[in-house]
Amino acid sequence: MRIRHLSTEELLLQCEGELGFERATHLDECEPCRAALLHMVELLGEAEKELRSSVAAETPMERAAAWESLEDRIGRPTVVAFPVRWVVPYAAAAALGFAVFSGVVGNDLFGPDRATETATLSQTPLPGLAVVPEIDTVEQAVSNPEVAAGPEMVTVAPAAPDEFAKVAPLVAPAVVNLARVLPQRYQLDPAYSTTAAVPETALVVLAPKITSMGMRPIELAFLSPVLSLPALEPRVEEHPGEQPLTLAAAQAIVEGHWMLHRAEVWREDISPAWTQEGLVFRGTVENESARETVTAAIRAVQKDRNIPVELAVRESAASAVRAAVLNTETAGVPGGAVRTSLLEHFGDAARRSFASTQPSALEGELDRFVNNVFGSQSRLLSHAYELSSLMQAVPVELLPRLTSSSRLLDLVSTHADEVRREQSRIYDLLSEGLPRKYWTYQANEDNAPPASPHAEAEALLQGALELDANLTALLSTPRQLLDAGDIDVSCGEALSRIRTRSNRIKAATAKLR
Amino acid sequence: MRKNGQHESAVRETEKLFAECREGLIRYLRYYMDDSSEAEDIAQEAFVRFYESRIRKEEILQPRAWLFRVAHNLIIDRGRKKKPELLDEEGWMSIERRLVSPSAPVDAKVYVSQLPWHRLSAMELKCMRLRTEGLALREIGEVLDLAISSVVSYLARATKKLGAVEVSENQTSQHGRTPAPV
Repeated sequence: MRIRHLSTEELLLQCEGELGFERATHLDECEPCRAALLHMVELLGEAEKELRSSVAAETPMERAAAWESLEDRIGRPTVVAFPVRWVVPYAAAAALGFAVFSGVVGNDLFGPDRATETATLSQTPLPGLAVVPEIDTVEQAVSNPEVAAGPEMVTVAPAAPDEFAKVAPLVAPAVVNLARVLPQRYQLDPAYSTTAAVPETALVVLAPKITSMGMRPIELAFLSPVLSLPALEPRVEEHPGEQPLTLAAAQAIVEGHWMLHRAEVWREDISPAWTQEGLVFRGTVENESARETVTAAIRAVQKDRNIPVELAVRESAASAVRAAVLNTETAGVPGGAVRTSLLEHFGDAARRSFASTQPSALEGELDRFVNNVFGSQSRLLSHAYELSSLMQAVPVELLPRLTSSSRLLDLVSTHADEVRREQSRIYDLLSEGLPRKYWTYQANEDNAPPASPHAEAEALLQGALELDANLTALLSTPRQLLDAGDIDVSCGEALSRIRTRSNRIKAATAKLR
Repeated sequence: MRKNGQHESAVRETEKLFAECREGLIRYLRYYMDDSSEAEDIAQEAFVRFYESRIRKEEILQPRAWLFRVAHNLIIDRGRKKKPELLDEEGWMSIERRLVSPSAPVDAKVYVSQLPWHRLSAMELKCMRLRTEGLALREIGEVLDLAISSVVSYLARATKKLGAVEVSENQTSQHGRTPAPV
């Protein structure tokens, strides 16, 4: 009779104290099993230590704060869960909304003109809030004896209509709180006299701007700059030196894209721009060496034309790469959420072809698969981006007039072909190793009506970005080690969109020819 | 009065469970999400649900396993609802800033592991993590909705992948047959 030693499961059960009596007796008698058990205990201890140290320990202060927060919630149990971190923003938004409401009610936007109204706030003073008469102009303020002598006042309160007087008792606590929070900015300088110059407060400076924009300021003086003025300033986009695109400029930019393509540097972060001096290449490269190489390549295709090349060097690129390599904490797991599924697939494939099913070989297959997918995706993204920027460079109204230039159509057609090719590669790879739900789509799934080539190129880029995000979620999920069944991500829709849009762009270019 | 007593009792039980499990639960959650505030939210939600179920006088045989299971399901719910996020320009810039910033403590955060964790499947890793947090086999099975034998099997496979040795000699059984591989 041969002796059966403890299996790994039984050793594990022994570690948990759940091994049966008979097998435990064997352990007492068997030296190899005891050694294996000792090794198992050491291994589990080491594993526990590593897993515990992977997350920083909590400090007593954090723990106490967490319990206080929890106690607040269970002290007043609510039905709807509400994340703690949203409390402050929501409270701020509620206070702001209430203040706006108070201001709108006080102003009565559809009521009579403010000039015909009388001050009523002074007749119903708010508790805890000192009130001074209405001040319309700086001169009026300076000549007003109450104001001039009033270094103790809290705020400048303008006239309020009757409705405000009605709601005043209701809003009083909020107003008092706001007066505490926003006190000093809108007070007149207490040190001024009738002869001294009055400092220009934000309200005084910005009031004409509001009036000139056809808007009336909210009546509560200490609220109006906070609520309305910053958002009213128009945003001015600045493109120093760049000129609006004419037909000649658009042709020159297309020519620039053509040169970048011929110089084989179109994947770099460089684009042709139209300035007062004419065409110029602008962009950023990794280092000095790359700048020299790229500049030389562009010069080589320019022939006798002397188009300036303005390239900046991304100085921190090397450290960024080094940091990215070192930062293993954020690095994804090869295969991500579908790792197990892929390894099983490669194992089956290896068995069918009588190849090695060693874990290292399967890991190699997995790495190759993931690299191929992301390689194709990277190329697809670069073509889609180039296509989009090319279409953006040519205004819609100039497109029909540019069609005589076959270079634009050639470029568009080439990139659309490449996009289609890479999409097919990705589809083939995914369908080779993954279940259908991650990649399948029906023909013509993207039923959006055909749009202009510009819109199609934009939609194509969006599809490429979506595909990139989905592939990353599936194949390189950092630390999100959920099962494949836990993740509901399919690349089918993005693949379908890319296919349809690239086909439409191709058809549009064919029609333009 | 009776309601107050019930509330007090539920709060006491929640506090006890909080003291026992909070750290392990946060560690378990942090493994699945980079955002620590999200992990805090889920943990708090799990404790609140525990409190509410105590108020409703629901029977909970294994509070620790119950808590981890609720948290686990909350993670999965969030994972299902969460769509992949496309980074805008500011997002990319912030990543780049974080990577290139000389003050970023990248080196200090590098987690050097002696064990081949990458060889473990998701389920094996889950079992190992729950065991690390002190859950018994039965409780792990409760959290992951598995039979105890499956939990043992997953853990055994995990330990083998991590380097556990097996006793290879005399493996023939008493009936003269070789046992099936695990």
